[in-house]
Amino acid sequence: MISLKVIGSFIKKEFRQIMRSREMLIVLFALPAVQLLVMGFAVTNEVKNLNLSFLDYDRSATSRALIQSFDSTDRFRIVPVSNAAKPEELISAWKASVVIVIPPGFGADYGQGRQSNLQVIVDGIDGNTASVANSFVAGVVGDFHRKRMQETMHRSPIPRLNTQVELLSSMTFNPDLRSSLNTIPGIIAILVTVTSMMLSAISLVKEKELGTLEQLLVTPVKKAELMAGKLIPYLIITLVQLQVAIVLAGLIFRIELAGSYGLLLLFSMIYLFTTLGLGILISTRVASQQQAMFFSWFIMVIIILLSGFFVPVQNMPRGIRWISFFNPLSHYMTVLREIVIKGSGITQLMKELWILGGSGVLIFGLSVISFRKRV
Amino acid sequence: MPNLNRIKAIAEKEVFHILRDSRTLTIIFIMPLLQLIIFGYAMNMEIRQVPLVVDDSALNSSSQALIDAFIHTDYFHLVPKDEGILNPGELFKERRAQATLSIPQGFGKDSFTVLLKIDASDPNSAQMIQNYANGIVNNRFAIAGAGITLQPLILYNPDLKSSFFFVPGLIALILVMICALLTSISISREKEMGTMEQILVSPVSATEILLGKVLPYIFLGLMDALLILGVGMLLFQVPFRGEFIVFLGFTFLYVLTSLCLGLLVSTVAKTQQGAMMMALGMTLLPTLLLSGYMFPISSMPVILQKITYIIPARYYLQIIRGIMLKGNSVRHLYQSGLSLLIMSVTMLIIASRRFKLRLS
Repeated sequence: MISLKVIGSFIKKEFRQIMRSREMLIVLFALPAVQLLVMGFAVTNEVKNLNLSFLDYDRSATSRALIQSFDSTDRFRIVPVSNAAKPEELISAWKASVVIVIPPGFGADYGQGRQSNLQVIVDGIDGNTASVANSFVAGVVGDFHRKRMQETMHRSPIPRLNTQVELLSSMTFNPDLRSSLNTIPGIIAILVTVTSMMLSAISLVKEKELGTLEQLLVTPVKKAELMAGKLIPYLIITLVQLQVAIVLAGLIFRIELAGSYGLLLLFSMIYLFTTLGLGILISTRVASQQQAMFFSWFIMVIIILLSGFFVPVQNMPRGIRWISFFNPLSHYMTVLREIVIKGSGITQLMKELWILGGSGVLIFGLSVISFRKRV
Repeated sequence: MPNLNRIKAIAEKEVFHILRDSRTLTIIFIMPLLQLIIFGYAMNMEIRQVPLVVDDSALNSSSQALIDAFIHTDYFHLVPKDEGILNPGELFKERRAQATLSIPQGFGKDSFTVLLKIDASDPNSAQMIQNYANGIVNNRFAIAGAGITLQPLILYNPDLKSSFFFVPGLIALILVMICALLTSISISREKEMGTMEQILVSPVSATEILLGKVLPYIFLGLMDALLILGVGMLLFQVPFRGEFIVFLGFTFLYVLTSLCLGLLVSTVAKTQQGAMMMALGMTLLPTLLLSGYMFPISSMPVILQKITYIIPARYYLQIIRGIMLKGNSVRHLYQSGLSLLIMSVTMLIIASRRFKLRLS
């Protein structure tokens, strides 16, 4: 028979151990807050404040107006340079990310309706930023051209050719396109994973390394009691951390839970069976704390990279998408995002429920089997 | 005066520690390779084949032409619409579509406006979808007018390959992880196991212990960096346009900075667990998030931009991308190098102070 009293005293011991080391407490609660803050603001693929330089060989009213129109967006920050500079040298020396060369005679050509050319030189080392920068430049120049055309049309009204298709777009669920709405649930999913896996991976091996496991083994504690006594505190700590993270997300980023809190908690509990099980599996297989940390860190980096946190899974090649299907974090992250952003209910998340439930049973089952009461 | 023989003895002991733990050693070399492959192949910002549901109330040749224009690109693929009224919110919740296109009755005759609804729960993808749609509509259905022609020229990476960006970055990430993480753990392990006291009663000075502990990891980190470099160049054809000797010099400096960071962490943390967590919090995450490794620093809020100045990887990323992709020489990079040097000296002073305090 499993004794609740034994489990209870185990839980007490485990909590005391955690509470006694102040750094663990900091790690458990202050670090998540910092991560939420830093990641919430830093993780964005937006491109802003790009260093832009003009080499204006024209120096006409038109060229100055064009430069002016770049000044009004927060996409670019104009860095003044001397006209003697070479564009390649500016980019090579990290002074500018984009250089626009306005050739002599640009204003005159443009004013007379002749084709006029602008040279745009972009630093290509970051492919994403470069292509976005390119499209921003095209956008600003296009707007500039349209405004000029409208001004001339007002002066000499020609019948407008209106066969142009107009596309109205509307953004559902996130009309202001706040990137934090997408990243914060992802960060919370990562926090839950990291904390639960790290704690359980280190749990047993620490006792092994310090020699206290042998002391435990000579006591009449049963395997199930030992496991429950170890894992329940970690489950509680992780759920408390989840709670802290949700409250902070609301306070700092004004993120309201669109869906049901109970559903979120249910999915988190189911998911924790997988991560705690993984931690135990690691713990039973390694010899030292260092190895345990390394292994869990290794697994975590891989599952975080393939989770869809940084890059949506659907952008990945087919083979890797298939691997991602077996990544529990990817599904848990989907669940959190769907519940937080769209307010999805359990009917829309049935697939994830099955997958997460299945992986929980499988991995936790494996960890129970591999958990032996021996040194 | 630090004695070379004693340093060598400590270093030898550390080498035995590393070699004996073959599993950790395997991870140290396998991990970067796996990451390299993931980053090279999977980290694709571009979104393709967006599932699109079209609600066509016009059902004429114009609307068909518009739909064809959408699905004849690689960007969208058509998902059949259910019977009844289109409900984008529901479709997005079930994740069957990421965008819906509504074409009104009389499209092509008296109305030319169509409505595109986009699931914006991932704002980055949403914006890309909007750009694609605008591009399709403007290209196919706009009248071209004489205006300003842009002649874009993309330097260093004309095909905009993401591997060019990530391979140098990965070297920076792996180096800081190995050097800072392993060093901090190795020192706090001795503390936790009580073997540090045994070393401390021997006539070895604090500086000698630190140097001896650090040397094997410098070697390990450099080996790993060269491995990533080689595989990245072979597998992803990442260019190396600068001088190798400049690369080696700056890399050595960066390894030094990372090790000092690791030392600092280990003097603060009392247990391995604490050291690991702190090292993760102080090295892995800032390097991943705040160094410009993935996310452009210029897009961050001003406070975060200020914080990036104390992150060693920020400088090293500029250095290594400059050397590999831009062919920069020392003249372009000495400021970053100087920053790294100042950081390592500062951290070393603090670490050795704290280390000595623990002795007494």
